[in-house]
Amino acid sequence: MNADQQLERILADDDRVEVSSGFAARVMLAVDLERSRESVRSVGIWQRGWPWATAAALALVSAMGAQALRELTVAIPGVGSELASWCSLIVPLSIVLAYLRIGGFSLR
Amino acid sequence: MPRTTAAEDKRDIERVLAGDLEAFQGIVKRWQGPLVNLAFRFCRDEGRAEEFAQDAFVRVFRSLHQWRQEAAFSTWLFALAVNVFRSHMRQASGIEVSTEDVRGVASTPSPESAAIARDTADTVRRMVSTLPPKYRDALILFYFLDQDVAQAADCLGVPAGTVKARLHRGRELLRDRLIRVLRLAPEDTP
Repeated sequence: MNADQQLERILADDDRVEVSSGFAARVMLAVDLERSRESVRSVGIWQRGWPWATAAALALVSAMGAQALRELTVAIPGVGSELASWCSLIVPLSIVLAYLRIGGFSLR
Repeated sequence: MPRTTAAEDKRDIERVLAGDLEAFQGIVKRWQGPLVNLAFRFCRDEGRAEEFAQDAFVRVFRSLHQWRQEAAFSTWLFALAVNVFRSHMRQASGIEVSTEDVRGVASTPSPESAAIARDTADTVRRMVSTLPPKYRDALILFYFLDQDVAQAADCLGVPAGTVKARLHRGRELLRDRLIRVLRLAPEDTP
């Protein structure tokens, strides 16, 4: 038998490895752990992310509302533009601060 | 692969994707033998082979939604497993069997010719894991997993011609080493 034939035979005749009896159970445990980790990760991202996303959206809406309020108050006779600016600033700021106060526990 | 296995795989995958974790056990039980054996061809260590295969199954579980059903599940599974095993082998390159270690096994004196033949065969198989990865992967899939060239090409993500060339070159490298081992063994015997 030449080296080529010998090589082919050796490669083709390799022994099979027996899988240990508890292998499937160990894999299922690892998969279960992985699933738990994944759900913790996704919940973590959601819990950390949603207050900030809501705060940003609220800030944006408030800024737009503030501009509209300012234009409205300036148009009222007898209301100075400075007072209008204050009003338009205080209202949205109060909304955002109230939100932060309520949701403050999850913003740490 | 039998058609029933493919159907069972598909059914179990659908159940897993629907949230039934227990269905994954069916996949594990059907494929644990082939995957552990495939891992063993990479590391030649039974304990590590099970660790490799376990990691591959966890990766399969994580990526199950990515299986597009265009390729057979077995092809997708082996391609993913080969990637996991490759990355383990890279990380554990310090533990990998070197050609010199392999020669040491071959030169162990043995009075029985059957034992010598067994040592030589074991040496050659160990040598497969010391080949450069591209030749090693092609040889493992073709010889140890009994895949044809087309299946191995699908698993490795290369054209069939490339697999043929790698098999040819890998065999050449192994043959040269085998000849060297066969020459070395008798000289080292007292």
